[in-house]
Amino acid sequence: MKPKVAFFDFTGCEGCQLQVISLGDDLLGLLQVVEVVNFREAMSDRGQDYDIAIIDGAISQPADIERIQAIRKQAKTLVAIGACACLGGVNSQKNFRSPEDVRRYVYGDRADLIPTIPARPVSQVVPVDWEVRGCPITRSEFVKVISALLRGLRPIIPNYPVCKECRAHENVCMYDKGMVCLGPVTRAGCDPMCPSFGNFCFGCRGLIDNPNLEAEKEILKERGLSLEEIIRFFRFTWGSLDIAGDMYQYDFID
Amino acid sequence: MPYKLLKRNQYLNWVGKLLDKIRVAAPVPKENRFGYAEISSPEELGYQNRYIPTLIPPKKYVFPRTELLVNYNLGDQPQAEPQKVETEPLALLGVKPCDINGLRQLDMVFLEEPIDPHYARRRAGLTIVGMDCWEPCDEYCFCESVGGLSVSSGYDLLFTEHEDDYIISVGSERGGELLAISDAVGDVKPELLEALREGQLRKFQRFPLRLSPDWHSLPLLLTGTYRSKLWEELGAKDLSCGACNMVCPTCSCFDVQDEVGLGAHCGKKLRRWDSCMLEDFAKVGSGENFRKLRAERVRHRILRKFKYQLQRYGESFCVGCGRCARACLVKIDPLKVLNELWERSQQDMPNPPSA
Repeated sequence: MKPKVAFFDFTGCEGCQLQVISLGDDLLGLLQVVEVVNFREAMSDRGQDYDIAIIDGAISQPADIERIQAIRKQAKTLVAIGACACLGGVNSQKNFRSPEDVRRYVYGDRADLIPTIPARPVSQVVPVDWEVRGCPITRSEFVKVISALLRGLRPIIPNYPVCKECRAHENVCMYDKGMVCLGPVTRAGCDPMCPSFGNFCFGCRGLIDNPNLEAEKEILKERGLSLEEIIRFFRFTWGSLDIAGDMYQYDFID
Repeated sequence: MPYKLLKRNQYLNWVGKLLDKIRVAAPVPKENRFGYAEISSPEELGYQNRYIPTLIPPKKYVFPRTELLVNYNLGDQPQAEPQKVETEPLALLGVKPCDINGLRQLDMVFLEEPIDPHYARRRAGLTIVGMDCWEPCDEYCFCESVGGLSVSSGYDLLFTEHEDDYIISVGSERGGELLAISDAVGDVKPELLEALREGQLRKFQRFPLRLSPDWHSLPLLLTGTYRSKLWEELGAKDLSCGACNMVCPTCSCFDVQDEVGLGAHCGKKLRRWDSCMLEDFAKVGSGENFRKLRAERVRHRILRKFKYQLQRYGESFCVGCGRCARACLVKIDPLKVLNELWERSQQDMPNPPSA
């Protein structure tokens, strides 16, 4: 019996599910070893009997909490995919503004119909077994995690900064090009996608286990960023993380 | 060792002939830096004999950052098939003394028993054409003070600029053959060779960065300063990002990991460059980590280059190319670290007992 897999989406662009659909040969491989029973982006079936739940998107509405708890109850294994599900992602930028203003701004005169709570990663609501990080996820890492999960093994996810991969790829350092970058504290595994194509790292894979955030702040300060700019940079995708203790002390409502 | 002579204005012509014989890689401009890449015409040579050491050293041609070791099948009849390294011969042009020494030291590591077959295959196909340095590259290179500027072996050909000529030291038969493809190559008059030697003796003074202690005494210094406060100070600012290891011409550590596909029961073993600066480098199966602190890892990298390997192989395993210091966002520079340790050890020295 192949394990049954269901995909569920919360707040996010669902691009990570599109990454799964565009796995190519690996998608065929996936379908050989699992039965997909629920995958809104790809099929009309809505099976509610599943073993593995794959979650895309952040928790950002009161109803999301009950829904994710119900999924957790049903699933033997729960996998969060993408920056939104694993970190809260860009959605957490709203956490630093007045919830009422945000709601009015987005939903206009229908705002009363849509209650909202601060965005948060799935792991802040229910236990998460595995995470596939990134915005969007790296397809090869998705394959690696699912493959390991099905074999009862622990996938090896890099616990080192993007710099390691970036240097090995012979990229000119973003800092040497006059840019700023979160690569020195961000978890690698993205095959340095952004820096390899000329853009700085904005931290979509979250932090390594023990990032030296003080050193990163110093580097950014040296490059002329104010404390406010640094905190904003950190909040871009990490707003839901309880990192840099002072992140919540600053309120920059504009 | 035989010497030959080639007019400098004939160099590109020779490179053109070389390209008809063999694949050639050379430092070419990459954004505001240089990187080794294969070239297909002499005009692509971006360096005018002077370039800041490439982003990563030429070791990538013998020890790639990712390398397939074994393919295997976990089906009903499990099978493993070691990957055969198939490489066409390659000539590296414009290799600086520091990088010649770096490759020579990698040979010492990978070609001692047990020989690394993947490295050995790639190395056998490699021809090293060096280009000697007359000037320091920038404010980071300190090759002279750790012996990295002097080359007496480890190359097939070594070009040295001398006025309008290149005086070429032929280090191997293969090098001699590749030089002989051009009629423009001639013999060197003994007086010219004498002038070159004199010039070379004087050039060392032009390399201003100095190690305070003599490099031979570094193991002793590093033993005495094992508990220095400096390590904690460096650990506090260290990012543990591994950039220094990635760009190092003598770092040889790698990690072997499995990648298993989803559907088919096949997988592969890959090796990738590893880095002793990373938190998980010294973590073992039980979860124990022998170098949990950043300070311990910073110390380890310095000790590895200037003590452990120096004691084992008899030379500094840092060639002074300065790549790690150039790459370090928090400015950890091995030369400055060693000089600071030396400085502090002098201050800490107890006064000799008075007679």
